[in-house]
Amino acid sequence: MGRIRLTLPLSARGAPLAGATARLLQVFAALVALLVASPALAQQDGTLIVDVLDDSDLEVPGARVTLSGPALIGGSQTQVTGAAGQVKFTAIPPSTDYALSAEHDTLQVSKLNNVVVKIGSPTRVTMKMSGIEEIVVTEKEKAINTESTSRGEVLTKDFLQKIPSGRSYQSATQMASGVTPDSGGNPNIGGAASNENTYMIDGANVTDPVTGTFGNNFNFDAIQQIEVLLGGYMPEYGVSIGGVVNVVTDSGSNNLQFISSVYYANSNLRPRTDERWGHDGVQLAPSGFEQTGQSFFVNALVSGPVVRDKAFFILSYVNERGLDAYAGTPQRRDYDGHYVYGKLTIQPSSEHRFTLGLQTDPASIANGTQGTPYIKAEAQDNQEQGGFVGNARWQWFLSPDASLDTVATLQRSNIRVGSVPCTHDTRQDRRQCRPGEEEGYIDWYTPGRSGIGGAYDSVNYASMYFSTRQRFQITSKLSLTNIKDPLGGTHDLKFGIGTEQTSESNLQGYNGNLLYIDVNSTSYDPTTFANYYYLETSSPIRYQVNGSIYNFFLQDSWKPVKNLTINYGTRYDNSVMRNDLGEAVLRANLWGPRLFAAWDPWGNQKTKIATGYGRFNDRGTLGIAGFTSASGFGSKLFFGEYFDNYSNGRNENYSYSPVRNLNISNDKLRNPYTDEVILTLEREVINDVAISSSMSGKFTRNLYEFDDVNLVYSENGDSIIGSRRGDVNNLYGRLRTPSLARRDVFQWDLAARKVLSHRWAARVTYTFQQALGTTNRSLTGTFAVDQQVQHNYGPLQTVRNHVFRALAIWDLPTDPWTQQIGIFFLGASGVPVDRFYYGAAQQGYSNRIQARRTYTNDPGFWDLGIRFQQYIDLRKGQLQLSVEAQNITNNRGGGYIYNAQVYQNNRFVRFIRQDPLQLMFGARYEF
Amino acid sequence: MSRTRAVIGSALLALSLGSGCHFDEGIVVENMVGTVVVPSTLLERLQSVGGVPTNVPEPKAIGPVYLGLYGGTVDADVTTSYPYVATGPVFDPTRTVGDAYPYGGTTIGQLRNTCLAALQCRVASNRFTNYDELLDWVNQYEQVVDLNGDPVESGEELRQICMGQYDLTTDAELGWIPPDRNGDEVVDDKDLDFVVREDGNYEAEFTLWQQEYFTSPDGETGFTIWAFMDTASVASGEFGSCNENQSFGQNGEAYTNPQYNTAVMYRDVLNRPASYIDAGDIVTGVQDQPGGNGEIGYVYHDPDDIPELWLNFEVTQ
Repeated sequence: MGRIRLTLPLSARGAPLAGATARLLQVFAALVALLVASPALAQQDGTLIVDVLDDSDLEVPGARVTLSGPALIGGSQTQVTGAAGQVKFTAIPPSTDYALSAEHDTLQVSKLNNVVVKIGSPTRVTMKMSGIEEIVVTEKEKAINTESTSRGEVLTKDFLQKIPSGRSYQSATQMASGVTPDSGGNPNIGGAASNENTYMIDGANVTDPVTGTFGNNFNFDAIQQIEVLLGGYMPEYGVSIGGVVNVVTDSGSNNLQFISSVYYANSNLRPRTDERWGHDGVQLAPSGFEQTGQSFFVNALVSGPVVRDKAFFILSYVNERGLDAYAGTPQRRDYDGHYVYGKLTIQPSSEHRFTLGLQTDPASIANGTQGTPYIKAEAQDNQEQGGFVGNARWQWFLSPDASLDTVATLQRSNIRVGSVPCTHDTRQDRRQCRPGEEEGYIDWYTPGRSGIGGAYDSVNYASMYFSTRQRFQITSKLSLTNIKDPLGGTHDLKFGIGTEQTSESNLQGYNGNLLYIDVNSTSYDPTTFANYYYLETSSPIRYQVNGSIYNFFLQDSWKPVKNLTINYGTRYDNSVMRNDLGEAVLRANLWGPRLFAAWDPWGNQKTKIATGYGRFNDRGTLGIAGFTSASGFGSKLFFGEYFDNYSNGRNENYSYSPVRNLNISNDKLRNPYTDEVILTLEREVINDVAISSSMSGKFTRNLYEFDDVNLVYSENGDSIIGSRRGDVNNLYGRLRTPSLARRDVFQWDLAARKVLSHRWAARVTYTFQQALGTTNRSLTGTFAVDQQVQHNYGPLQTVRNHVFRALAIWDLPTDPWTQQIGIFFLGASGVPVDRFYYGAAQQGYSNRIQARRTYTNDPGFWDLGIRFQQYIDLRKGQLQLSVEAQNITNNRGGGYIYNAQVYQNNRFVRFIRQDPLQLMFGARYEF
Repeated sequence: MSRTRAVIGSALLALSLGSGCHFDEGIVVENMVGTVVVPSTLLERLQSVGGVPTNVPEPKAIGPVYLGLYGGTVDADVTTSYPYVATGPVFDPTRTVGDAYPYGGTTIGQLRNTCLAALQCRVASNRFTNYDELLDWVNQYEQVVDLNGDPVESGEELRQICMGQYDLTTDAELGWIPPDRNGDEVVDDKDLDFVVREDGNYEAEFTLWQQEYFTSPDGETGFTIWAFMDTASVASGEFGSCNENQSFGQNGEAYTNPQYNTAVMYRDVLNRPASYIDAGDIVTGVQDQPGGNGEIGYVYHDPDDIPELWLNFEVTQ
């Protein structure tokens, strides 16, 4: 029985501290920093392991290995191999352009160029040294990373620039196996819902604290790498029962770089009608509504050194403009976003590195109401959104094997939705200002008129919605590497602590506290206006909800022998989410143990067997806590004299909702969790080509749901027959996390992958996924109607059963590599869909009469995208022209996974219309 | 070192096993099942049998059966006109109407999809084996006519009209004719909600889905299940618990489309049963049948109880 020996060698890069006192001071200071700091600090840097071997494949101790590269702030780093002939460079920026050189007193110099270092799992390379001749090798990426135990992929900047990836980090995640998009552009990762992921930018959690979806738009050109993790990841990545999207941005380098690009995309090139299908899958004639779409991107990015090797900067700007109209809506949705991103990285000494980052993403969206042709310009809505993420990071390199990494981040986002600003410009199809109104005046007082049954929305937009979301987080992580184990091998130990404080302030109401609803006597015939009824509402309500999280994690990567990696650790999160009364709706102490191992049985980096188990917890969102907030939106519905025959159950011609929110919470809640088991087999079958089989099972339990503690329903749940509280018109939701609210996902990936060599790379993947359960997304009222529970369990729409992906990039052999082609093919099977029937519970079409998703199928689709780039050398710099075509076959019939439903009139409707062919043209200048 | 690893391993295992493998919500939610029995004698109606007026059971007259879970019973006040449950249904007109708050409930059969005016409040689900039976039943009371005023000639025509009106494609969606519940590939009397037993009485199963079960503070009684059967009026064929002014949904189509007829169950039937019980309806009386508990309704002592609840008291006034 021995002790783990913590070795903290003093800095080899700077002036050594004097003696044991200084060493103790360093450790003490590190611990103090940990205590005052705090959260999840995902991998932002890379690790490079270098094995140095001689002609006989024996380890070479005493070799001086130097790492250099333009992105390596602080200058070159040199380490000396130990008895195992190995060195490890940690906390280095991810890059595709590193160079290694090895020198030895008795051997010739060896060089290794084009070394790619990715975030996440360590990169491992081998350098050969000869006693006879100097060796210079251009490194190729290994077909298998035998160090990795996680499931997922790292998408590099180089890859993203060559593949038709859609110029957003959300859409780029679809390149990874097991990722399917939902209707809002958020990815469903590994069968989980799109609001169950963690989104991180430069190590900071930027997930929307209310919705759980992505919180910020971002400049695509400033992305260095995107790590998409489906599972098997370690506690430092935070906590999530979905996946992790970890974006690491460019930091600049010693090379001054200027990139300016313009992209234009047009999707008006094919018929884009709303598809219709019969219940048996037979396609019916289209509806005749067309959608149109254009988008523009203007990008500028400058990066380089402020002080060579000491300080790098990057500054980028993007203007994204999108003009789209869906299903015949006369006003185009006008999205105008401006994304600014800047980062300054300073390394004044070998011990300290400081990074300051700031990004903002203000955007306006005019005419956001789409999908109906019956809307007048003055009834359209306008949304202003945006916010910022500012972070400060301090990396303290106590030694080559010890570092303290501290990040503080403030994230703030705003959403304001209301009526369109008026204009005096009669040429514009917007609400015209009335006398006395200034240009841009927003009318919050005139009640809106909404139409149903084809009547026009007119007069004014109905409601207002203001939301400000904020997260402050501070995280600190202590990394100790190369800790020798007396029984063999080394440990890489990480310990982190953190906190996140979140809040949302919200105001919502109706303009003029009134809404008129116009009705046609003949559906969808605007010439048959019949009458109106109206809704009188309470004054706008205002509330604030808060969340507080404290956490720590401890993890170890133990390599008892060279060909075995055991990653284990645990994570603790203390999470409290409070409603507007300050009541702790969710209060949890969450433990997330993980144990994963990767074994390279022959030790030649050509085979990997990885397996393990992990528990992943959901910490809750402010949206969940807000379910029981006291603030409620009161309303009184007047049917009026013309509708007295259609009144409520008591023959009154109105109904009302109380001002106070009626929802409650069960006394005992348990935060949802996912248990995951994985088994991965990978083998490099020929040079640069690997095949793999990866299986995972994810078992999620206790998802958030609510039931109804008030209303009593008929045998199929479609009529109300009584009330437990004597209030037959109102549903009293009760927040629960029942064991029945569950999801089981099985995924099996079969893949063949060729890494970049001989100018081309490719990956072909077949993915089988099966998701069964009761709940697609949390808190959807799955358990609200007792009798419906019998139909709840079934296939979920978070996956498609069969997905085939093929990716290829080819650098055409016209040296010096001036042309590139990237291809992305995606074929996906259909998803089962429901037909819903009218239910009194929700006063809408939501009831099933048979098991979930067994009515019919949304047909599958396949999609082909191609990107072609031509490089033209100029006197200073390079011009890159590109053309990218998405959905070439025009077969991507609403590729989003949530958008299909057999509607009440037995029409098969995709709420997101068919994706059209889209062409994107780009010009990019770089020097 | 090995001890260190053992400690770490044990801790991880303990955390894994101890951090949530089992979760007790603190509430007992059960799917509670049972049967309802209606004596055939209470279903008798005067019909012509071989030209001779004879009282024979008429199960088509069985309307929706409303089952409610109420508080514990007190001694039945058999001196009043109707049996009652003390904190549940109130049948005595002198008592406050509408003060019955059930803990839960369900129905056997329901009213929905009234596609033609003559069908309003006259058709409960799963009482007919085919559409001809249904049409004949309604025609006794009012001639079923289509939207042009022409008589509907056959059950199949009625089926086509209603499916077209509601954009439905299967009998299950329309909800009037039962599925082949017993799997004998024939939809017959044995597939209806109420099937005749060997003793000649009629029996139907019920499920109280996701019922939250509790034990009273005295630790004895969960609650009492009590039911009433809305019987079709002899004169009009209509059900008293049916609100013909209430649309199936307060949706736009109900307002704007004249083909969408109304008529659904009142929303407060279990709160105000006295308001909807008419003469001829049958309620749960003292359970004095063989094996009965001698109380009004069935008093649950365990959520796994499978009660046989007799609807054995015919309301006569």
